[in-house]
Amino acid sequence: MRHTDEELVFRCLDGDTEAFAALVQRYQHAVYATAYHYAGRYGGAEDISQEAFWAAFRSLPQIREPEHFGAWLKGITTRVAANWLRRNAPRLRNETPLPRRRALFALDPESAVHDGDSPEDLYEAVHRAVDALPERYQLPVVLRYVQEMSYEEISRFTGESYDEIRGILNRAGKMLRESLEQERIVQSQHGNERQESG
Amino acid sequence: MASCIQIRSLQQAYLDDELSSGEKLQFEEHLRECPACTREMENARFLTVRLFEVFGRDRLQDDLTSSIMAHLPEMDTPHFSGVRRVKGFQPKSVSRLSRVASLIPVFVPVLLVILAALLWAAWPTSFMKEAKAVGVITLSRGEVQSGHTTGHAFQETKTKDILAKDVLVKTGENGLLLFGLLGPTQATLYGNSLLQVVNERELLLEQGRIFLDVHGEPRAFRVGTPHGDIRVMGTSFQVDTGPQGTSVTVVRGQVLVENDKSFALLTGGSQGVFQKGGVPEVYQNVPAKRCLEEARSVLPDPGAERYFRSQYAAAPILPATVQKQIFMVETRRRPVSAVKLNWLPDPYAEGHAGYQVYVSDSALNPLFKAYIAPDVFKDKSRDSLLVAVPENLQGEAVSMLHITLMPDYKSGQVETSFTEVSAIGIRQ
Repeated sequence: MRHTDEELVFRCLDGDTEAFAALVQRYQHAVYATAYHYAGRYGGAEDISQEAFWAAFRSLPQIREPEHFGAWLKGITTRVAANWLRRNAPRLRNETPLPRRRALFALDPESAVHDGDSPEDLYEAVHRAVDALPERYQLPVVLRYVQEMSYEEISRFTGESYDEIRGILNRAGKMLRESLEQERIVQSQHGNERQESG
Repeated sequence: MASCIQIRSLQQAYLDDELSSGEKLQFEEHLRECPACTREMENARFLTVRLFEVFGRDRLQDDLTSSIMAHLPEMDTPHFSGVRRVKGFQPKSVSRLSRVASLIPVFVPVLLVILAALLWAAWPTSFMKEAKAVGVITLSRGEVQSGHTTGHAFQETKTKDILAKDVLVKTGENGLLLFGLLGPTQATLYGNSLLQVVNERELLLEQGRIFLDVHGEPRAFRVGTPHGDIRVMGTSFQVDTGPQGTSVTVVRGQVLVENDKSFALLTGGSQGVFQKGGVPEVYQNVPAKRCLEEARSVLPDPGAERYFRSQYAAAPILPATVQKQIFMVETRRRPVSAVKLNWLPDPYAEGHAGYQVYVSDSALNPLFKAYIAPDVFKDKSRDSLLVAVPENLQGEAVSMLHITLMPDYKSGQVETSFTEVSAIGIRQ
């Protein structure tokens, strides 16, 4: 039987650490994706996720609405991520952001989907496009595409309703397509299609 | 059939498999007949695949649960603002603190009710019922009793008791009473005194000693004694009355002392002693400060004093209206038979106040006094009156007459504006 967040929170407060493990399992993807969104390109996402869960466990007795555990955890995660960035700012200043580093070992001839475009270019263009989205659209997009979370899971974590998430992701998809077409990243598909149909 | 705009709003959800079965069928049906939407959808699918591909590289690889659970920190002590218990879910056991916290919704109203009851009990008694309340006892020490003029039953007076109109207060040998009156006025009644509070601006001191700090309202504050009246216009003074007579010591301000026959104007540092008849004796430069120091040495109960300030002292102070009018009349040492007063009749006003006329010489030594009945002002055709100088004073040679006209608010509220006062000489 699946317990609600609220039940698990109360069990934790009663000293049942197994219940907290269940919450970690349920939310680790969301927390990780959020951490990745804020600080992931510097490789801190996992550290931040751990810290965020520890901070959540420490301050669990202060939660006011256990039924909204997800949204509460999101707040903690963003705070922890901001602190992590501040703490590591001096070191990060001299470090190459993640996209380029990852792209080096992500090079795979079979995944080269673009005519002549390197995967690094796609990677950076996608990140640029996501960063250009309205602030409110960014996290749902990251949650969806980094961890393949369902709309229901996203809505529980961001605190927005299911319908809002559906609308946000639809509009965000359209915006991303537009900005990537401008960067000539997905435009080739049009060409291919036209060739096929023609 | 749904419009292309409606269909395109479902596009991403279709790709993410988040449509209801009805929506999904509708979407697919539309796509079969609309090449534009199909192309649009294919573009979206292409992008979605790319996004999963790009972001998928950074997906969380390992389960973090074990590493997180391995180093779980201590949980903070619960705060009172903590979780709400929800119906339908009963935890097995609850920590003691969170149990206390969960009782807050019950405790707070109960605590408030208890506090309200305590406040009610501590509040000055029967203020609400007592419509005629004019003041409050700010300190009662030793033997102090109070009763009403209509009844004779005296009972012990306590701090924070309310003073109503027509209350009689009696202090024993060691008794001491501090009270505040609307106005505001603060008073210290010493031992062996008998005082009647007629209203907030009038006291009758049958015997004993009282110190008064009169503020605010410009209308005269009156203290009656068996030997005569004391009227003040905002001042600190002490009245001591006994079988021998009454003495008034003024710390600051102006005090008018009068008996049936005569009167005296006292200022700071002077003392007037008077009996029922005869002219008051006035002494200058008496140690009046001592009266003030004595009165200030006793402090009122802080709670009662706060209450007094909130209820009585905060009363708006009326703007100074016309009250006493002073005229100087040169006589050049000629004998005077009468003083002529001129005024402007007000044709519309009713309820005129009578006027007390106080006549002194240039050194403010009292000569005589007179009273103008309110009826005089009722007659609108009339605009002057002759006030005769007593026969025994007609021979007095004074260079100047100092005439003070003071309304008697007991007889009416409407004041009269005097325009001229002149002296009528005696033909020689």
